[in-house]
Amino acid sequence: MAGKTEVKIIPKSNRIKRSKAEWLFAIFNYLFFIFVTLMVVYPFWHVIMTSLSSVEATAKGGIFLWPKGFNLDTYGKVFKNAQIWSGYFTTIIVTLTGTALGTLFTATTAYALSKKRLPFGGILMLLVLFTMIFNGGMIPNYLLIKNLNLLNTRWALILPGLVSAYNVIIMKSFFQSIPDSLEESARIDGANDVIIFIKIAIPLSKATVAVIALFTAVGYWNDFFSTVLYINDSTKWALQAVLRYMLTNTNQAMQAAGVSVISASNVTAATIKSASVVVATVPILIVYPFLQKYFVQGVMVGGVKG
Amino acid sequence: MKKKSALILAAGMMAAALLAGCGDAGSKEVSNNTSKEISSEADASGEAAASSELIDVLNQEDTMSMAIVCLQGHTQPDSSTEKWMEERYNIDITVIALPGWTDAKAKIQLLMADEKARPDIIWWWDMDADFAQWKDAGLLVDVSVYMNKYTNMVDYYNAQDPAILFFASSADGIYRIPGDVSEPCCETLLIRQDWLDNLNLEVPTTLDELEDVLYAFTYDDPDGNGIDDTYGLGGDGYDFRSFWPWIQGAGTGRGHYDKFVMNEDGSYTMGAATDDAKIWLERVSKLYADGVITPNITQDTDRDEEMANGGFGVTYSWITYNNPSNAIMTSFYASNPDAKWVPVDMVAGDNGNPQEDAATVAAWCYFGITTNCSNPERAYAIWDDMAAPENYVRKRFGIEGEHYIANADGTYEIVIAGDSNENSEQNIGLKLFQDLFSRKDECNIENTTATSALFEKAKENSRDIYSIMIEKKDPNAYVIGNEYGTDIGDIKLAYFWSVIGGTDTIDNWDKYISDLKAAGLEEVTAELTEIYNKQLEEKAMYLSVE
Amino acid sequence: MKLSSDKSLKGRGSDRKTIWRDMVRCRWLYFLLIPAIIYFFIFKYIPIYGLRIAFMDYNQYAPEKSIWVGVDQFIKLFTKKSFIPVLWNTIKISLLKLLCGFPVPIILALMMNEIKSVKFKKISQTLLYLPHFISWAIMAGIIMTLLDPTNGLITGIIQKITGQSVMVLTDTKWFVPMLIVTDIYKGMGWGTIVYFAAISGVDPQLYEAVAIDGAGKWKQAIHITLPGIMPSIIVMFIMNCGNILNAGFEQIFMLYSAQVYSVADIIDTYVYRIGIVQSDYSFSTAAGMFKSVVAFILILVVNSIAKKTGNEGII
Repeated sequence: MAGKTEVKIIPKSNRIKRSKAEWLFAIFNYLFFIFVTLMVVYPFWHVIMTSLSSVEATAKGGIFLWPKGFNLDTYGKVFKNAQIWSGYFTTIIVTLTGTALGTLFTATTAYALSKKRLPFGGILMLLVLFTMIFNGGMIPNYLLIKNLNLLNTRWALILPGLVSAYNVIIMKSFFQSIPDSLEESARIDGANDVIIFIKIAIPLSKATVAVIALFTAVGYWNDFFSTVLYINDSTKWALQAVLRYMLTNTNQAMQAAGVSVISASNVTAATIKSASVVVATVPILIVYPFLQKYFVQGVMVGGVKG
Repeated sequence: MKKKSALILAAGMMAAALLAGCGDAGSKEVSNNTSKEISSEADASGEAAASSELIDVLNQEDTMSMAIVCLQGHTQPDSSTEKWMEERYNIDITVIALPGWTDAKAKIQLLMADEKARPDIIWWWDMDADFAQWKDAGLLVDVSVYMNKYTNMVDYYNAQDPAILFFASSADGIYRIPGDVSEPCCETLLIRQDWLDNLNLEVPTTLDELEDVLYAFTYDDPDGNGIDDTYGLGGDGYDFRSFWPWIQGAGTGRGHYDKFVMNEDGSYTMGAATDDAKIWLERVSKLYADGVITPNITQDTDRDEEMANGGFGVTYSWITYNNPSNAIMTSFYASNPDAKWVPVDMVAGDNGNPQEDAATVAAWCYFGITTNCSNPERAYAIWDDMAAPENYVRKRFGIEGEHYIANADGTYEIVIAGDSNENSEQNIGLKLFQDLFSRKDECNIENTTATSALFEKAKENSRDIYSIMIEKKDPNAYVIGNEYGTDIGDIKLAYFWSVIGGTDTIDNWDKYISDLKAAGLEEVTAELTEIYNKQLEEKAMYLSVE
Repeated sequence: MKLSSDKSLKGRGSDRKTIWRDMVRCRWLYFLLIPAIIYFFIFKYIPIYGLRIAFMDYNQYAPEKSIWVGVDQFIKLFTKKSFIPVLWNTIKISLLKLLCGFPVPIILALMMNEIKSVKFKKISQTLLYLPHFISWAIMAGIIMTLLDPTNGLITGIIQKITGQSVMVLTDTKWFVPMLIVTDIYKGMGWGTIVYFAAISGVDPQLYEAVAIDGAGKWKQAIHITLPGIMPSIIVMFIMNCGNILNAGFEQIFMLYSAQVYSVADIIDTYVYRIGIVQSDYSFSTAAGMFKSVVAFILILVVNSIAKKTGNEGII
């Protein structure tokens, strides 16, 4: 840190009072978050416990804190389901490709639109916003993909959701907070907008890029409806579509769908459903910890010296 | 992303452009006796009719490709059963698996709307408006001619109930084949015999006795554990069928929770607006208020979970719970070895004629051959061949000795069940195309003899109530009924469950009736009277030719 | 909404020449926009043209048989007896969710910012957003178990506190509060992510400058962090406003029943129930379009209010 030339003398009593209050608050804060985190983790915990329990115990629906009839059979069964593996394959490819391309294009769009000097920027922004709110619906989207000959291909899972207006708006707001002074000095050195974008804006916006990458990745990972619309081949189903099939194979779903005469045998067991949820969710959960390092304060400051 | 899914979901519904109702003209009867008449008629009219020779499906030279849609059962591609079918008939099967109950209707619509993606055999349930449009747009093949030539499926359905094909047919032919017809009645009254024994009670035979049993089960500690944790009546939550003993036993038994009923004078009333309905509603709400019914019965609980949990002594539920192989009951008995659920006869109510809840005669799902199919007659012939008893058992239950065992005394043992892990792990393919024709007669070797006997008895004991229930052949034709149907249904649901749950009283019944009328009940009833009377005429004509 | 062109250039001559010159100066920005323009046109705007279905009686199997009916579908929607109650429920639930739920992620993010232990932060942050990944289909099952009248955990707690046994899922007084609480619960962790990123962009030097003057953590949070992330807060708020007619279909659909229709039936659930009986694609498209129009107007209104009060809007 640059040297402080002036040191203000704080009366000792103030200092002590301040640190005591802060100390109390710190303890409260930690406890608060421990409490909130435990509460928030519960549903997922419940799902994990159910997946580790026996079928008989879960048929009653009384799992609270610990598995009853602990066994790992369920995971064995789930992993023997070929569709889970093909689902992984499809979803991973789609997520990686989609996130890479999507984040890139979202960033370029948001950056360009964040510059006030861009003529017609307002209109363009409005057009982007419009797409966030208005959606053609199931059939027009289907017809588009069909006419592009992308039906039943993995591109149909990637392209329709590539750039979302929501992400553009968030990213644009972050880009707007980059001080113009940084741009000026680069311009003097002869850089054009693209070079400024690549060499200055992006390195300063690591947190932003991380957030949008995370949102995009999670969006792709969780998307099942695209599979419903565009994919017929069951070996190309996304993982979440496989999961959704299992979750809607219940008595309630059948009754809601207007079928009232089916008896028990076709319903997916609660243990299988839970294990599938775990299998389908854990991989994406692992992504965030890797991105957390970008959410560190001072990234912006570090860039100034460049 | 999240907003988009919500918007798409909300906008994903079906189109209805119905202008004319079906069923105006007389229906065309399908009967073995007139097969020659029909085919010569077709020839005379110069249409490209099938010749009266039968296609030999076992000895075809060209491989026909068939894309088939299905939802339930085995959906993994290239199972042993699928390969058996492919070899036997020289076809190349592509299974198009629907994406689960909630999204399946949307998918079916998309598949039918896309002329390239349209399958050869389409399967659906409910979707009457869409079916009407498919027919209008010429997307489905009229299979009535084939039904005369290949008769396995037709024979089976006529043996079950001739009305099944009546409901499936349209004015100008038959464009849909019943996929699965439920047993005429599939529920029964079940009681905990061990609790009755513990309390020295007899099996109740009247509704009043049943109510006494409920109170005893709740307050007299029937499981003898000293804790006040038992209830009398339990079952599927948020489902009026759980109260069936009271519904059938109220007044003349016309208080049906869902359907319209026919009065003695031939007029029609909405079941939930009859005086009978008021009677059972009041009785049930009193029982609920007295605490003899499980409190969560007003919420959408899962029937299987409730059975597996126990805690109640009386329920009206699936006959198949009696099958020893039933997974839910196995789990229940594992943790309650002394328990014993027994099926009992329905109790007699006000009119002394106990009735079980009749299911619809019509199939709940259909399949049809689309005009995309390269050889519709061959496709139908193949399907009909699969419907023959031996072939059906082979498709549904597998190979004798490997997947099931036929005992000398005529009973069967299932070695590998359709929903077992072995079936999916080894990709055997049992339950493949489960809902594209299924037999509930002796070919359904899954049912024990005891269970089959129960089904028979239930069928007999539900015919009276079936005769006063309305079963619509073409729900799409009831334009006014469909327009006001949601609002009327909402009023009924809200009022009934509020009364049962105690947040509203039976004293507001008159207000409830006037709310229904304000929502259009009288116009709906008038329309129904007109259309349904016509349907009765058509049905009588149809059956008289049989 | 005005054109946001920087008028720092003192261009004489006609406006057109000035604009053209600005555009040329920004040519590289336009270059960056090219992929987006292509993408939005093909994948968003071409399907949006399909919204004209809302003005037709559409037959998807024989499109040539579809007839143009103008605003009939909309009139049908607005004249339904249940439309006003359902619209009112939608607005009520959305506003309550906005009021109660919007500040929660912000407060959480600010509090989390005070945690010194990096490890604690990392673990806590990751766990906090777990519910976002549990779909409502599963969550609803868990909620129903917790609220079971006989032996639900939460039911027991409520009984101890209020002395009554409440059946939350069928009680018109408790159902909507339950919706809001569970919605906040499910989404608050995920909502903090944007604010974490925003907080990380606040200049640390600002903190030090204020700390020298004797400001404690509280003052720092209020006077430095909060204003620092205000642009993000405004943007998120505007976008949430646009959501006013989406009160959470999946959540309500999984949890509601006829007894609580009067308070919890929203536009989407109502249109869904109509769709089961009537299966009218044009009708549901019209309903969706109505919601979109309202959302769009609302966003523009809130956006201009934000700008008038001196903040950055979305446009």
